[in-house]
Amino acid sequence: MSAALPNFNDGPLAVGQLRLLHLSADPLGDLGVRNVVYLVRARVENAQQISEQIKATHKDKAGAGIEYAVYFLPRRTIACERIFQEQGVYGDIVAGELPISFIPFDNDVLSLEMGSAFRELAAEGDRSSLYDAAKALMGLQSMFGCARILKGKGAAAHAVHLQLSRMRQELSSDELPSPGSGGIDEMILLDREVDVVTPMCTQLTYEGLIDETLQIKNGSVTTDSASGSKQRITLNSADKMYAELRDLSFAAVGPQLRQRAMAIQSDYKTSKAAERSLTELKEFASQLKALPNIQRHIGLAESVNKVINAPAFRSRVGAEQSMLDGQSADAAAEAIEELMCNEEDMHAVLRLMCLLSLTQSGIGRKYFDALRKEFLQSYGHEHLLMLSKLQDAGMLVRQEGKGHWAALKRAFRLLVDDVDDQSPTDAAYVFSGHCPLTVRLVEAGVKGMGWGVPEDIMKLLPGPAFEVEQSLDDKGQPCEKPISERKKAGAAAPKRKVVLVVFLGGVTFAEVAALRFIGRRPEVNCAFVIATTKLITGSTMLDTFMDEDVKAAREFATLK
Amino acid sequence: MGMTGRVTSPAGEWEACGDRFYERHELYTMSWSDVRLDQMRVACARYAGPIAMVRDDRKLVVIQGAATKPIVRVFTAAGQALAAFMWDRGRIVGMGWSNQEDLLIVEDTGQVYLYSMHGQQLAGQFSLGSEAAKEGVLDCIIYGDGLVALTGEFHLWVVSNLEEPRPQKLALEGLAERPHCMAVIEPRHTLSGCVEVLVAHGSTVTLVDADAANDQELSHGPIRRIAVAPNGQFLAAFTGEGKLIVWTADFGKFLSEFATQSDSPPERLAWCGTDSVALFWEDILLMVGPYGDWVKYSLDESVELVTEIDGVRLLSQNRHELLRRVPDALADVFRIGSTAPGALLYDARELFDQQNAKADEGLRGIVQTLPEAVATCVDAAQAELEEPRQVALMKAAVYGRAFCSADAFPRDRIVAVCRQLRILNALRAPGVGLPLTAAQAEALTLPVVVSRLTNARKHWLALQISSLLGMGPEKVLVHWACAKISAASDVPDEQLRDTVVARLSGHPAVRFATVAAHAQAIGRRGLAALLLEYESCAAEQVPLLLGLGREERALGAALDSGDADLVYLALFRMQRALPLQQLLSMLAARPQARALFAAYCAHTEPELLEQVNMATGAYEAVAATRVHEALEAAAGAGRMRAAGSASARGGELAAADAVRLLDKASDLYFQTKEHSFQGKSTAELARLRRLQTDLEAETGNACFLGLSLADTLRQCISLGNHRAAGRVRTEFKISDRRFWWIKMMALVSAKDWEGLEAFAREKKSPIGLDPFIASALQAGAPQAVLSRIIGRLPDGKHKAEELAAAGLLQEAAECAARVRDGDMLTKLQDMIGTVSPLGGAVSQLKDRIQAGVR
Repeated sequence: MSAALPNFNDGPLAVGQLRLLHLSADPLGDLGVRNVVYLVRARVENAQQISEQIKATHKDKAGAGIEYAVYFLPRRTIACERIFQEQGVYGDIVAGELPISFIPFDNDVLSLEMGSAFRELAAEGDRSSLYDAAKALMGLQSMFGCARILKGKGAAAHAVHLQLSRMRQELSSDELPSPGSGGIDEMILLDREVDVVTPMCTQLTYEGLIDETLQIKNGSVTTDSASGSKQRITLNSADKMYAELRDLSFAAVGPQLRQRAMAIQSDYKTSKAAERSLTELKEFASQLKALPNIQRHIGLAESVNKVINAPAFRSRVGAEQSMLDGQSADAAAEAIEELMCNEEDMHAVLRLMCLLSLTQSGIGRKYFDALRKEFLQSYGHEHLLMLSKLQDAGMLVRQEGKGHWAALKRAFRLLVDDVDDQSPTDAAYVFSGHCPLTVRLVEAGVKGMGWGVPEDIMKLLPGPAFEVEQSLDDKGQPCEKPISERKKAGAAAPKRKVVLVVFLGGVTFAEVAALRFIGRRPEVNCAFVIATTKLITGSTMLDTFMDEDVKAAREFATLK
Repeated sequence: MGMTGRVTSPAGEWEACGDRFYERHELYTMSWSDVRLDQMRVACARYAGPIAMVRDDRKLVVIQGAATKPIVRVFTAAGQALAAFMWDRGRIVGMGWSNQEDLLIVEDTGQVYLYSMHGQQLAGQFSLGSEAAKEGVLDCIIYGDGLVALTGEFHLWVVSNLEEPRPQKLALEGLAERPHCMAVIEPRHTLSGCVEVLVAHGSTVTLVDADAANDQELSHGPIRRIAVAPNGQFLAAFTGEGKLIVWTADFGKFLSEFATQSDSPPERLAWCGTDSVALFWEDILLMVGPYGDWVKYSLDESVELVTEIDGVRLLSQNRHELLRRVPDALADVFRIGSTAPGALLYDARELFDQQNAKADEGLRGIVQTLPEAVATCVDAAQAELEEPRQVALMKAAVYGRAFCSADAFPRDRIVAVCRQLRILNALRAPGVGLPLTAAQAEALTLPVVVSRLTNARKHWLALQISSLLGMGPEKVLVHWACAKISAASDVPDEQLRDTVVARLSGHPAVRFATVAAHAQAIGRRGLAALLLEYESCAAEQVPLLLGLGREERALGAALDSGDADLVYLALFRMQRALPLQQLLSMLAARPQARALFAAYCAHTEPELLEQVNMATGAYEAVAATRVHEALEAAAGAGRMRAAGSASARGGELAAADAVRLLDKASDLYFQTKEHSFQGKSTAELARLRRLQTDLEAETGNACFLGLSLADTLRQCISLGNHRAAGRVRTEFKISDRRFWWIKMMALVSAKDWEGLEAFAREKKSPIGLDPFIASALQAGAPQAVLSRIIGRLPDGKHKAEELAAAGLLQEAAECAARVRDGDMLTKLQDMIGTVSPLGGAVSQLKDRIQAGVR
């Protein structure tokens, strides 16, 4: 988020009048205001832009006497302040911080909105986002109680675990939440790098497909309404119907909507209005109230349908599934080539290339350079830098050795035949027969106290795994112990566990749906709360690998 | 607790003022002996804080002895000396205490110095700026968070945050003469959240803030004294006509007026709590209540008035008193002839202690209101300042509570009040000298009291109180350790460390780094290093390690902490302190730090980064920089071309630049084997750009530059320039398959059906005809075209299917019939139905085949 919020208006100023400007280095010009407030992420480039803007504005006559305040999210940093010092604007700025950490997108979904966290971690080895994530998780724990069980998998998860235990040690005794006392029973940290396959696949739940095709931004989506104007629809569980529909397979959404519409219609037809009692009428009227919402969702489903009915979409999903099945590289490469020739969306093609690389532990010599070359020739050589970064991130690499995909597939039952879209019995329905590895891990993890995954299988996944019990020692100081099985507490029915699942590097809606699904299964019976650095799709994830200047250069290079 | 003698009622000492009572309570007999208060400029901290004084150069005084330099002296509220130091700087125009109980001294040059209550100069001195320095500072008001200064040309400057002092000029202009008086409304009481200043001049008052100066257009003659109530809601002013007038703080409402019958303004005017005002002339103290009621006290010595939230303190040469309105609960119990339940309960308890049977009777009389009576006694005990009376009131409360039902009065409250009274009584002891009332302590909050005690170096008491309150002892311990170190300058490092560690270990949240930092600040680096070993928090170690010159360890600790910001702190300090070569070799072993440094340099010092990358053989990073530069140039070229012909030349140059940069990037990539793909690709891009420039020159059509290779081909084809397309194809060795796809798609999207047909005929298509048919169908090609292309399919069955899919049903049926495909015909029949003529024809065809089969 980077916005300058100057308090300005064309006419005379009234208290409370604000206008939002987006951050740039250009001078502010004559805004007729005294105060300009910047709300920015604490990043060096933002500090630079602010410095340049202030300096440029100072040169203007109109810019004299403006007072600047900069509020950094989530905290002030030395690097940014040093930029201000070096640029000679430090004295002109009142700096503060805006400690916003998790933003709740729903009752059970929290996001830090750090879009580039995955790229920084995977490609650049920059772990600064993990510090902020750990801080945010510590804040959550001090508000809702310390999780008793803490487990995790992957390098980023391990790093956050270290941070968390350090932060717990460093809290003074006043601020220390005692483990297991509060709302969170268990915390599971997952590094996105453990499962990059999932985001590369096309999500097939209602919410997932809306995100894939129309892009959900900040919890809402913009569509063309029937009248042709843009319409913004907020998507969260406050909309009861959406709460029921969103995690369904998209194939089941159409019938559901039809059923609801029909129910109202038949209700209308069967009994004559005159014969109804007042209570019946009231009930009927409240049903009618749901009608516009049904229409809205029908409209939304239609927009999605338009995209997924295109032949290209079907061939994309087909290619994905055959790659997951483990088809030959030749067929996969041919499918990808064909999509490129068809001028299919660049992100979609890149996702398939990454998927091929991820499922076959790299792309074979025969196709690695050829596919990349063809990709560059099709979408512009500028994207070379992105390909390099993907290579650094291990997502698009030359084949080396035999991969573990087949073994993982077997061990975690990732592919499930015959999923029932309408009334599924396995979380694999979210990708129409492919269950995300992360979900299987969580499923295994919540059943017992420990991970419950054989060690040799766990080793196939990158990064260390851990499982500890956060507790207090005899002096009342925080410590960590190996997990001990506890005796079930008497006859009292065990309370539904609250499990915080933290995705470091992003999570897709399909995974959220799958977790909600397994949480409702009797054998799991957990309330999952999902925290993440960002809600992603494969495309938005890959988009962070693209530099701004590539986008700028491509802007003037489209075929007219 | 034995009762020694009867507790007397305080009511005899109260003065009635309307329907309220006021009491003067002696807090201390001052323990100082050599102070001439009337010759001093005095600054008393709010909330019973310390007193600072220095000879007042505005008063004519016979200086005795040789000392011509003034001495600043600091005392506790009980008059115990805390510090004294020589003032050898400029003229003092203002002195006061901040909320942190730091002493601020303002010079007429606008320099502001900070001292601790123990007389140590603190970091953070600042200046009010060159303008203030030039004009000179005349007067200064210091309030809790900041200060306001009046300059020689009657401008006001404000510093509203002492942590980050930033002098700001207020909007006071055009004052011809020095204001009569001023007062500050603190930011927490103003609507704008900024400080506002009341300036009395002429016959009016102007309310000034950063944006505006609003004349309140008063006509009460010159206002000689003005004061704002401690809640910021009201203000009291003494006018030239000898009247005391009270308004709401925004002058919105006139509240009361009182004629004092004195022409000369009082020496001091101060609020007593928030409902009455105290005025002091030479030997008279007049207290005016809210409804015009008043009390007059004769004094035998001059007093300083210090407003508190529930009263006003009177500080004189010999005594320190609190003048306050008697709290309601106390008045209820002790008022003469009071029949309030609390008073009756108190009486009953007294009778009980005298073993008088009437006690029971008294209790019975108030049985209905017993909980209320208990509450009154508890409240009264809490408000009472004399310990014996507190005890008597508490006893009455406990006595009454015993006869209440269990939940009628919370037992916890009695316990809490007892605990609070023990704390307050301990604070009031002359040796400590913090005479806080319960109301003040609650407003200040006990944690703040603890930190003030700590600052006053009453560590033992602070620890006792914090453990009584269940607070962590860490902060007190750390402060103790720092004070210990300061005081033990002749104790060897190891011994001092052992003393400190012995007391502090066992508290993991104690920050040894803070103690170490203090040791370093007072010049004991060795001790600092020793203490730092005990710090468990890596983040805390970093700044100190840097200060101690141990950069490498600091960097390690910063990396351990995981906090990128600390890593930056270490890096920046190292960049300044170390030669570049050494910094780089340190970074070489720490990829995390190296990455952060590189990220920062990429934004601020790209040349340095490049130098480093070249030196370390990271050619690909330099190459990437070249690519970025090329992209920037290309974007610039694009913008200029889009802007029109005027900047076309600039666009050409930028484009040529971009190509040159790409060539450089390519060379750099080729330096390392792993990056040969990147090398080839950048070279290919450079070639593509050159070709595009050529194509634009040849065709005279500026529509190529910047396109991708595939789009270049498409552009050639859609322009119908097949020769150029062929050139692109051969130059970039595009495979047949790919070329066929691209050309086919380009023709379809240009709706060049003739071209598409011709292309389908050209030679055997390496991609088959299916993509032709599918794309053409999707793009809405005419049926005739579709029919002809489908006609080229070799397999009849396939052909029939495609024809059916394209909606060419009759042809499909004929074709199906030709290859005797009965199933296809059935399908077609379903699609068409049998009623139409076409349906009939299909049925016939079908019958014919079936007949043929039989």
